[in-house]
Amino acid sequence: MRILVVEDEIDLQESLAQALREDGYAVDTADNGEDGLYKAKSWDYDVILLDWMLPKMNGVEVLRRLRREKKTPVLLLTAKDAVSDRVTGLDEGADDYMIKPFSLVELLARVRSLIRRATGNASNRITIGTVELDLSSKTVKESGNPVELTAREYAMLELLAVHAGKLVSRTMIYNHIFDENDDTLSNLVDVHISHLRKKLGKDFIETRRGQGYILHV
Amino acid sequence: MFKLFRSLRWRLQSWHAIILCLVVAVFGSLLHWEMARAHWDRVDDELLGAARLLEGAMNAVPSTVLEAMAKDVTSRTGPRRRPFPPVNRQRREPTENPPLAGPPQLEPPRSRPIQDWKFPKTAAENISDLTQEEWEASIELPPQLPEHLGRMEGPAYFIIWRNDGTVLKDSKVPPQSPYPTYPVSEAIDRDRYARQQRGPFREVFIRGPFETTICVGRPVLGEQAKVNSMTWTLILAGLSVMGVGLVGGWWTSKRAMEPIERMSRTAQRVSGTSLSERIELSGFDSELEGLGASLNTMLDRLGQSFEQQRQFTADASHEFRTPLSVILASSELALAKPRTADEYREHLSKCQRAALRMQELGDSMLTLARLDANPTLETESIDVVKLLEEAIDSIWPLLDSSSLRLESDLKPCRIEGNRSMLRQAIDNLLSNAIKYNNPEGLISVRCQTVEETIEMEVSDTGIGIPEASIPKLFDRFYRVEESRSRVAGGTGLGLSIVEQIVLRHGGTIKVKSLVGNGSTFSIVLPLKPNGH
Repeated sequence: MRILVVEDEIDLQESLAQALREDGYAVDTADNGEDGLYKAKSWDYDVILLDWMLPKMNGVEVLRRLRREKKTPVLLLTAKDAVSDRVTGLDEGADDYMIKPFSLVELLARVRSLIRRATGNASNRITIGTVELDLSSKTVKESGNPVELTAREYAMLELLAVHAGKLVSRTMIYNHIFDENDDTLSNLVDVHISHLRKKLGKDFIETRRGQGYILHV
Repeated sequence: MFKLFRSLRWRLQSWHAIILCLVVAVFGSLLHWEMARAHWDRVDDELLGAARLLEGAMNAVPSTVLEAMAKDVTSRTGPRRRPFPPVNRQRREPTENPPLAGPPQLEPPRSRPIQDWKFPKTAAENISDLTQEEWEASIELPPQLPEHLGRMEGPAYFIIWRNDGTVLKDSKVPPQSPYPTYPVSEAIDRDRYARQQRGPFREVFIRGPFETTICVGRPVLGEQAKVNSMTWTLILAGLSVMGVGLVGGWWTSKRAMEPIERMSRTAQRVSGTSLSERIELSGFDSELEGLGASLNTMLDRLGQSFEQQRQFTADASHEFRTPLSVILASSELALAKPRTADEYREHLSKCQRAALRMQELGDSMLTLARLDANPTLETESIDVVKLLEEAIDSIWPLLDSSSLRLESDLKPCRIEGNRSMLRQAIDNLLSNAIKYNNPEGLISVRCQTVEETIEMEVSDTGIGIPEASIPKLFDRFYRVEESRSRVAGGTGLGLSIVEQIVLRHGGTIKVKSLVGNGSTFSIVLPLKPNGH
C-alpha cells in the first residue's frame, strides 16, 4: 500500500513517513501544496495524509482540486479544531479528519480503516482458502500456523488479498508496493511472488502471463 | 410578591394613587359644594321672592296699624315678653292640605294652632287695642302670592312675626310639621336676610317694616334627594376616575418600566458566550433608548474584545499544536521499538527543536500579555544610537555565518523610553530582516532626529510582502504565508509585539514593501512618550 504524506513541518513529515514505512507502507512525501497535488494526481495512492496549512497551496485547495479527478482516500491533518473547520474539511472531500497533536497508533488505525473501506472490506481479517491475513497486526497464518513474511512480501500479499478474485497487474504492484525512492526497474516483484509461493503453497497465487497475478477466493 | 412592593413600578404607582386621591377628593368636594350651593340658592331665591312680596304687603298695611304695632313692640317690657312659640303645644290637626309625602315627623309639635293662639290680653290691652284677628285682617296678602307659592314644590308656608315673637299672620296652610321658632338670629339684623335648613324644611327670613320678621319656607325633600343623588353620583364618578386613573397609572408605569425590564432580561441573557445579544431599541429618542444604545455600544466593544481574545486563544492553541504534535509523534515513534543511538538522537533533536519553538511562542505571548496588562511605561533617557549598535552587535554571529551584509547610518538620537522594550522591538525587526532576506541580501539600519521625533528604519532586500497582506501584518499570529512552519520559523507575534511597543511609546510604525525587492519598516517615536 502506498501513501502520500503532504506536510510542511519537516520534522513531523519525517516522523510520519518513518512510522508508516515501519508499518509496511510505501511512503511518498511532499512539503508544499503544489508538490502534493502534483504527486496525488500522478499516482494512485491508497491514502493521502494532507496537512491543512501548507505553503503555496493550502490543504483544502489541494483537496478541492484533487477531487475533480480522483477519489483517493484523504485523511486531513490539522491543528484547526473548530467544528466549522472540521465540517469544511469533510465537506470539501476529506474522508477523515485528525486534529494535531495526534497519536501515531490512532493515525495508523485510521489509515488502515481508510484502505479497508476503499477496497470494500468490512473487516481487518481476510481469509483466502487456508490463508488468513490480519491487516491490523500484519500477520499471516496458513492453516492456523503463523507464516513469517518480510515487510515487502506481506505488502504484496495484502495488495493481492484485498483485491482477491481480481487481476492485479505488475504496474499496480509497482505503484502500490514501491515508493518514489525505490528502483522499480528491478525484477523484485517476481522475486517476492516466488517467495510467497514457497511459503504459502505453489497454487496460491496464479500468474497470468503478460497481465499480472490473481488470488482465487 | 414582596419584590413587587419594593419595585420602582410599585412606588410610582403608590405616589400616583396618593396624588390622584387628593386631586379627586379636593375637586369632588369643591364641585359638590358649589353645585349644592347653587341648588340651594335657587330654592332660597324663590323663597326670598315670596318673602319680598309679603314685605310689600306689609308696607301696604295702613300706617296707623303699623305705628301701633311698632309702639307696641318698642314699649314692651320684659315680663310681658313671652317665649314664642310656647312649648307643649298641641299638634295642629291636618287640615285640608294633603299630607306631605314621606317627611318624617321629626319632633313633637311645638306650636299650637295659630288660630287658637291669642295674644295675651293683658299686654295687648295695655298697649294696643288691636286684636290678633284685626292685625291679621289688616295685612292684605298680595294677589300674586298664592301663585308664587303655588309654583314651588311642596306646600309652601309663611309667617309674619312681630319682633316680640307674636305671630301677626301666617299662611294658614302649614305643613304637618311645626312652624319655625321665631328667629333671634343676628344674621337677619346684619344682612336683613337669613336662611336655614330645618329638618326637611328650607326657610328664609327677612326683617319686614316696623319691627316685623317675615319667614317663608317649604319642605325640600325632593331637593334634598336630588342633592343626595348628586353626592352619590359625584362619589361614584370620583371612584371611577380613581379606578381608571389607577389602572391607567399601572399600565403607564408598566409601559415606562418595560424598556428597563427588557434591558434587564437582555442583560441576563448576555454572558461571556453569548455577547451577541443586543437590547432592542424602539427608535424613539427617549432617555431609556439612549441608555439602551449606550449599553449596546458597550456590548459591541465587549464583544469585539471577547472575540479578539477568543481568536487569540484559538490561534495560540493552534500554534502550540504543531510543535506538540512533532514532540508526540517523534517520541512515540522512537519508543515504538528499539532504535540505534543515531535514531534516538535524531528523534530527540526533533523534540528539542519543537520544544524551543514552543518556548519562543510562550515568551512572545507572555511579552504581549505583559504589554496588554501593564498600562504604565517606565522610561529613562536612551541613546538610540547605542541601543541600535548593541542590537546589531548581537546579530553579528548570525551575519558572520551567512552571506548577508549590514550597513548602518546612525545619526545622534536620544529619547525617553523603555530600554528593554525598545531593544526587543529592534531585535524583532532585525530578526525579520535576516529571516526574510535573500541569502546574499543587505540589511540597512538608519536613525535620525526630525524635529520633536526620532525616525528609525530597518530595511531588507528580501522577499517582500504582498500589498494585500500589509494591513494584516501586525495582527497577532498573522503570517504572510499561511503555512505556520516555514523554514524561517517565527511565531507570528514578532511584529505585533513591535507595534505594541511603538504604540506604547506614542509612536507610529509604517511598512513599505515591494515583493521580491524587500521591505522597509520605519518607526517614528516622539522624544518623550508622555508628550504625545
